[in-house]
Amino acid sequence: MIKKRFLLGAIYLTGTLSLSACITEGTIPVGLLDNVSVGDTFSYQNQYFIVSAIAPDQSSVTIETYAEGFARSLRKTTFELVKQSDGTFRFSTDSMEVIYDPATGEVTWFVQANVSIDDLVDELGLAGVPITVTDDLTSIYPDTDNDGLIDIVDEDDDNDGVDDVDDPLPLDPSETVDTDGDGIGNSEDPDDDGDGVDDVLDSSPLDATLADLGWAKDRSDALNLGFLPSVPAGENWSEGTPSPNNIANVMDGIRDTIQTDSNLLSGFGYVPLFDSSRFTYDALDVEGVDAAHAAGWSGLGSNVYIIDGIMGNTGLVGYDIYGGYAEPAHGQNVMMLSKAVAPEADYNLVEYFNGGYSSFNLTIPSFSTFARTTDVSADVVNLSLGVDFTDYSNRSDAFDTAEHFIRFDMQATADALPNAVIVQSAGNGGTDSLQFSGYECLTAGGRNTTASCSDAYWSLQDSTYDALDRHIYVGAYDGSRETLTSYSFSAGSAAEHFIVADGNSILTRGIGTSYSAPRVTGAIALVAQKFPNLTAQARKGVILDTATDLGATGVDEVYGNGLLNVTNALSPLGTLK
Amino acid sequence: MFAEFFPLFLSLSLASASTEPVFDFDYEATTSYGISETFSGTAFYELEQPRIQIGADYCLDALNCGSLYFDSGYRTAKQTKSPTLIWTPQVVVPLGESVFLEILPTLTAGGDTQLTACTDSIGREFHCYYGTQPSSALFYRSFEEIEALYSAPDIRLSEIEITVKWVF
Repeated sequence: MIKKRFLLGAIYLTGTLSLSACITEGTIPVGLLDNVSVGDTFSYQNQYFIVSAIAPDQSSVTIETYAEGFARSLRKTTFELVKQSDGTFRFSTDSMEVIYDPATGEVTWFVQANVSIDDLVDELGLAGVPITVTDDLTSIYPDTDNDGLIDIVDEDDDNDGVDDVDDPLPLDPSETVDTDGDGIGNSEDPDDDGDGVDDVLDSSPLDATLADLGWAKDRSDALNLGFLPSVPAGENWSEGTPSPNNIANVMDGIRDTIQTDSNLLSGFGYVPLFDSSRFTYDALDVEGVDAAHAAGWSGLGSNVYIIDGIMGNTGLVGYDIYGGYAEPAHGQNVMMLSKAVAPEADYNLVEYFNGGYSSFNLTIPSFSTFARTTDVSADVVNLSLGVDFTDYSNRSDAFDTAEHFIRFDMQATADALPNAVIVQSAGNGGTDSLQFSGYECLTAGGRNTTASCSDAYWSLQDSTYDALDRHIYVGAYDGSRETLTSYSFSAGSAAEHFIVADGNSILTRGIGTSYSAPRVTGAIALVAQKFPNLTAQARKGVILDTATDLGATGVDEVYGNGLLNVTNALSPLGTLK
Repeated sequence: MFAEFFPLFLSLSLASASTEPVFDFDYEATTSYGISETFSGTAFYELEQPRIQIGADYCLDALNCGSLYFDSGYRTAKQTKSPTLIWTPQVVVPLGESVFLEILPTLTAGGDTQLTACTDSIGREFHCYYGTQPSSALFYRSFEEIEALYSAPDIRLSEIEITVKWVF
């Protein structure tokens, strides 16, 4: 709707030649000025004119327009029609005159025949007419909804029924609400309130203060999400001053959070494929982690990186959607395991996945971005990924892929985090038969070894990797059977860098060395909290040297250094001096 | 008539010479191949010389008595305590025929305690009595906090007790 309109016959100034010998008249109601206000517009042949000023004493009226008529480029031109003694309003130069007569309502435009454009522009300049230049023709007087009213006067530009003053997206007829103000209307925005939780899983999709996916970003967030008991920082459980009188319910808190996820997923029609009852210290199966928590070691202040597939297959953070089922993504499993061990560490997520354990893709932007950065404060990074030779049909492809993975991805990770222990899953091809001929993996304890059958082969070469002194390979141990799991690689010649831990997920029935590694990652975060001055090499040494010996006495080719033991890792190594 | 006997030391209330270690404890440590073993940590706190503690009560007159306490402190490999002198004078001010104001300040000099951390084979710092039950706040405080806790002026008023007594 137009606010106010008056009609005025006007010359349409277009092109560069149309001014020649042009005389045009228009008629407007008598007593116009009594009804005219600043901002009123009128049009003639799609050329719009705006009343930009009226003298308080009504001695003049000023109108503006954009036109090509006075120059070869678009110009904004202002005319001030001054009231004359005869009652008319006039604007004139040597070659042009505009007259408005309120007594008759006629407006007459006169342009002298054959006047050149350049001369006319010069005259306008001499007459004190302000001339400004704009470069954007398309921005001039658009009419979004094509209702004949230009946007600057149309109170509802997109004609969606909501006046522009109340419409966060006044040019989008399909959107009238944008809760988070991100420029994407709620109809199209997957996260209306901008809290990082997609609406489909957000219990309060229009309230950024209420989000429930269990991804605690900091201590405050963790407390809100139920990750931690309500122990104020600095009391009982704080950096450097652990107390024996604090948490006993870390796992309860995490389990509650997972249950919240489950309820949310169910509420939105997905069947959650995880079992929150598995979130227990028993299922975590790490020696001493419960006692460490009770003593106040939570990883607070430690800086942990998780490089994994965090985004679900549909873009839903943390969950893969298969039909009507929601399954925790690989990275969700990995991070929850590390958080179960070190719930108060700072977690940094880096997206790196292209589906499947062995896949990697150097072009994934998030990892590429990460690999070009440096964080000297990182204490540990978890990579539950790698290259199994057994996944490839020929030796050449397997070797090339593994070498590239070490040379580029692993070395880039090491360079980006120069003070971090690098924890990598050993791989799950322990009992696979090779699919290609001409190469046989070495075995130890009845399993293919990680050193001969995975990318570890290349990490052991100085020429391709320079961070082996702070690198740990983690195999999977079956505590109930007291042996390496059937799928896990054994250590082989990487034994000095090898440790084992439970390989069960605590969210699902999933298994794999992917889930052994984050247990070690969390343990290193605890060590880093208690002994913040250790180098990455020393942190690695503590974890490996304090592992519970398994198999043959000492470091061996099956279990490497043995089974992760948090109690030992936080205790003195050797006698005290 | 009693006044002519003052000043008078009335008794020696405490007098001892101890050679007991400050802490007597075992701790666990990880030895080769992740095996956990128990070791004695008492040696860190064996006294290098006997610790003498002695105290005495005295009266200067019928109303002004007090006590003196002296602790020689101790020196061990990982913890030392400087000598301590504690004086608790008792001042009684008559406020009336049967009303008395009794002031009992406690002045302490010395007694600073210094701790030295134990280190394991890779140089990590531990409280030497690691492994004992955390009955002491020192178990879970940082060395910086402990130092702050134990730092004190040479002579300090550690306590003052004021009592008004009516005698019926």
